[in-house]
Amino acid sequence: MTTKSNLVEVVNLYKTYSAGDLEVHAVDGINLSIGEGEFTAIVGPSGCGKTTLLNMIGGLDRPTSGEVNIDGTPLSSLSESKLIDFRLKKIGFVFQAYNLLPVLTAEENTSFIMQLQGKSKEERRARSHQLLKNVGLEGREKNKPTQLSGGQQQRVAVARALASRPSFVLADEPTANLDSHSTSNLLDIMARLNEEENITFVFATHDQRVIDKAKRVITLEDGKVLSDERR
Amino acid sequence: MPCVVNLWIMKTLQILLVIAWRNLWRSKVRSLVVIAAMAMGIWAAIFLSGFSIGMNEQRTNSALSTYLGYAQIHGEGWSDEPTVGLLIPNIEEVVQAGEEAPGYVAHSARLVQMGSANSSRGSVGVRIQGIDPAEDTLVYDIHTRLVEGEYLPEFRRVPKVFVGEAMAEELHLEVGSSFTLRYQSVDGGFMEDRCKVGGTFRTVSSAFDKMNVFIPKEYLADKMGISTSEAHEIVYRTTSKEAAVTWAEGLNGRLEGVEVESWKEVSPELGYADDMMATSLYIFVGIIVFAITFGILNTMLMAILERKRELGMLMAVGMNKSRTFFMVVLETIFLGCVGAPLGIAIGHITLLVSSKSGFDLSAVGEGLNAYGMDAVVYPATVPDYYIGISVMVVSMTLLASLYPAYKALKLNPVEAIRSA
Ligand SMILES: Nc1ncnc2c1ncn2[C@@H]1O[C@H](COP(=O)(O)OP(=O)(O)OP(=O)(O)O)[C@@H](O)[C@H]1O
Ligand SMILES: [Mg+2]
Repeated sequence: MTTKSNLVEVVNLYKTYSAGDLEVHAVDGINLSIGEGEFTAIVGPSGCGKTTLLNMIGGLDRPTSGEVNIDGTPLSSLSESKLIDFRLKKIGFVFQAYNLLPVLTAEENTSFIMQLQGKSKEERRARSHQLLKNVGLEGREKNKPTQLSGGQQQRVAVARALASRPSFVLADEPTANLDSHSTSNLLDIMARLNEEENITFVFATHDQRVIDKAKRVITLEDGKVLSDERR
Repeated sequence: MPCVVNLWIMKTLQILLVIAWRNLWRSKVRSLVVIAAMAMGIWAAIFLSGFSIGMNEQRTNSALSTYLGYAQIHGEGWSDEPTVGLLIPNIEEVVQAGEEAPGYVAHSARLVQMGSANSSRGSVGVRIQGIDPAEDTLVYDIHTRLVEGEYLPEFRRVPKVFVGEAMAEELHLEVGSSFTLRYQSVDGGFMEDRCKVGGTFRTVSSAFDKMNVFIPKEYLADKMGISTSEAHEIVYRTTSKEAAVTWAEGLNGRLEGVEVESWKEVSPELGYADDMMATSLYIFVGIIVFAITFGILNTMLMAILERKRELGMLMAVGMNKSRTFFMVVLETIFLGCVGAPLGIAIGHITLLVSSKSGFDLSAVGEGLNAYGMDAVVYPATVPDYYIGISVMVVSMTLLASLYPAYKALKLNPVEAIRSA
């Protein structure tokens, strides 16, 4: 398995929120790098800055200072509209909820992202079928999100995140709304995608089952890296 | 520029159309209410337009055929000084040209002179019109406005004339009463002529009724010393009031020594009334569309608010601003543009049906009659308005879409997602 150590590079990253007189250092000087093919969990107590860090890595939020490099591109060099395009091409997202457009079917939700990239109809169709099959949703292509369980919806979200062939997938509490069966199912799928297709996943989670599966666990406390262990 | 629909929006147009269309039906009741309001507003506007245009048309046509005439020809200089000697030159040629011009239906050659009517109770200035009843009834329907007596009945020595009811009242005359007409003859002398009231009429215009006297042409020609083949004016009926205008334009300049005028030149205020009505109807429709636009605006703002998270997610995963903007605009246009054709269709059908059956307003008919209108109104279909209304709806909806679309753009994906 090839490993590119500098897929994600976080350098001296700070994010400070000021709420009135009070300053909250949500991310307080973080340095880390994530390589290709890693299966990383970012953990820590509520409010430690997991979401804030993930959003800055994903180019959803701008740091107060410091830099995030993705595949060698410093995100601070990108304008707002370039950043949106960058996200579309390079990063797959799985959120805790509201991942899918309720008016689109599972297949449309997956192929939509490819349509934004201008992929051909045949390619979109073939790939979304393949991806939905990979996450165990063969035969459910024509279902709308409301016709799917929470776990199935999250699996569509994983398929959608992979549709654009991103460099890596960011998942913020992807299992928080799921029961244990759906959770282990989703984790198995992501672990398999990581094993078989070398897809890089970065999670923020407090879910012990996710932590157990992770190959690398980065623990945060008060916006700082407390520990970083590989297994 | 987010609103520029450039090529790469076209690439994703299909999916944006799908999303916008399906989003429209997410709150079915809400969308249907807006669409129904739109359709009803436009239906009302179209019906009102057709109704008032039909009513106006009816009134104009009735004015034209009762007293105004569709078009007329006089000898040159008549409008400056209508002297008794100013007869239409080469009358056979003029008559022939008039008959050959497209739109012609019928004509009546008349003698016309100002004079006065006198009784023991007073005197009024009148326009004395010598007409041939057989010819004149093809052009005018004044004979149908008979109130009492008869329309130009046979007479022996004293002519039985047709006078307005208002004039008869002023001079205290009744059918059968005698009075004197004073007018000039061609040799410059004044004629004093004893007449009898043969019948009275009432038209829409009491001013007209007060000053018009109809007398058999043959008799008047003899008294004035003019040959019966001559005339001061030829009045025309054409196939429609629009045809009268083109008919007159076609003849103008082709005939020597005459003035050709359509009703529009004779009575420009009647034409202004048409234009004014058209303008005020557009203003009315505009107000309705404007009001509905606010309904659409409100609906879309609610929709954006409800879908904050979804929109945030879309932007997070890479939907750019132009597409987001365009998606909201599309949905708004759908909302506006489903109702409009519906309203136009229902409006057109209503007008089509009622233009045949007519609306019986006899309940309020008394009031209408005073304005010379019939109790049954036949609305007209107004295809010209459909385009105008559609353009108005599309542009107003487009305008209404800008603010919600802008609101959607201003959503911060991080906040939108966090608000979960
Ligand atoms: N927009 C904001 N304004 C002010 N403070 C904020 C804002 N966003 C986050 N914070 C604060 O930053 C800190 C880190 O928040 P963050 O959401 O990153 O934590 P987290 O580790 O993801 O927590 P959780 O496990 O509950 O999701 C918290 O103290 C939070 O209150
Ligand atoms: Mg969080």
